[in-house]
Amino acid sequence: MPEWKKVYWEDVAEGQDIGSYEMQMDAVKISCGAWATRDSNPIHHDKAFAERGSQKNIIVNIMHSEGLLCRLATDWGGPTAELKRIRFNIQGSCYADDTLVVSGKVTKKYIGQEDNYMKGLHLVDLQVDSTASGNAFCDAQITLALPSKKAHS
Amino acid sequence: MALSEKDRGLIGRESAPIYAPDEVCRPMIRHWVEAVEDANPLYTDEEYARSSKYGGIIAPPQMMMVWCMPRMWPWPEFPWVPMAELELPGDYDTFVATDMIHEYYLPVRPGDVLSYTMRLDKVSEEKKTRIGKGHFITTTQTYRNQRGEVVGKEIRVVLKYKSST
Repeated sequence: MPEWKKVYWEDVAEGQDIGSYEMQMDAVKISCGAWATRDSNPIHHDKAFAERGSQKNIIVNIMHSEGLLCRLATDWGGPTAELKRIRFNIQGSCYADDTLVVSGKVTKKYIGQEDNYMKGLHLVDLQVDSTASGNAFCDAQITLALPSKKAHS
Repeated sequence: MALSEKDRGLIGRESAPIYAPDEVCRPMIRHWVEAVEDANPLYTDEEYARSSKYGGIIAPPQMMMVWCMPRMWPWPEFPWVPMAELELPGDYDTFVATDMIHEYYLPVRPGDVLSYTMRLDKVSEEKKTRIGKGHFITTTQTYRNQRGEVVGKEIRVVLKYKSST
């Protein structure tokens, strides 16, 4: 079994870079993402349709985009990092043949205080941004629960 | 123009459950993993997942909405949904999602059958925005598993507006 990353809450600092990844988008990847998320809107698989709507090509859909941003969070934290909350915003589009770049940093480190499902957990807030061939695409504020060295688990 | 009495009466109302067409399953998880290139072993590596706190494979939390996407054929019948009943004064022709929050409470596992309800939380008075005049509509989608446990929530704001073009 490969060794998986395990980032502990104690080892994280606010402002810390969580790295980045690049993905070459093409029609196969975009339509595969649309299909895997059961999104049949032709804007995600039919270039002629996209052009009639004055887009230059097919575009990555929302559920695929959300997956791509959350992936950076768990790539960085490892499989013991738990996705708790995501706030997602779209600024632009990612077209077939764009290069997608996803990058992020830690904006806040804290123990859940609010009386909700995250109370008492060791949390970090991440700002994750993405660009498509250099243009703003979408971003997210992601809250991740990390294992603590002090906890029993 | 102010909201009609009918529209104000829809605020706070919730739909009946809308069911996922299929149970959560490994093949659909793997198709999603291929599209995202997500190597998280909790999603596909049985051996690792068994040794984790979950004791087995879990679905990517971000797939919550995916399970409940409607089948394409035969097109399903949907229950009454308050948002579809809004009459909104003005000739708005376009929707755009402006904000989306997902909260994940419980793991979703192969074999689970999800459903969601849609509640209309808020409808703003007409606002002038960068892209045109319209109303911001806030809804909450609550996702449950077959035991009725709430596994997550989606809070979504859309702008229904008249595009200026």
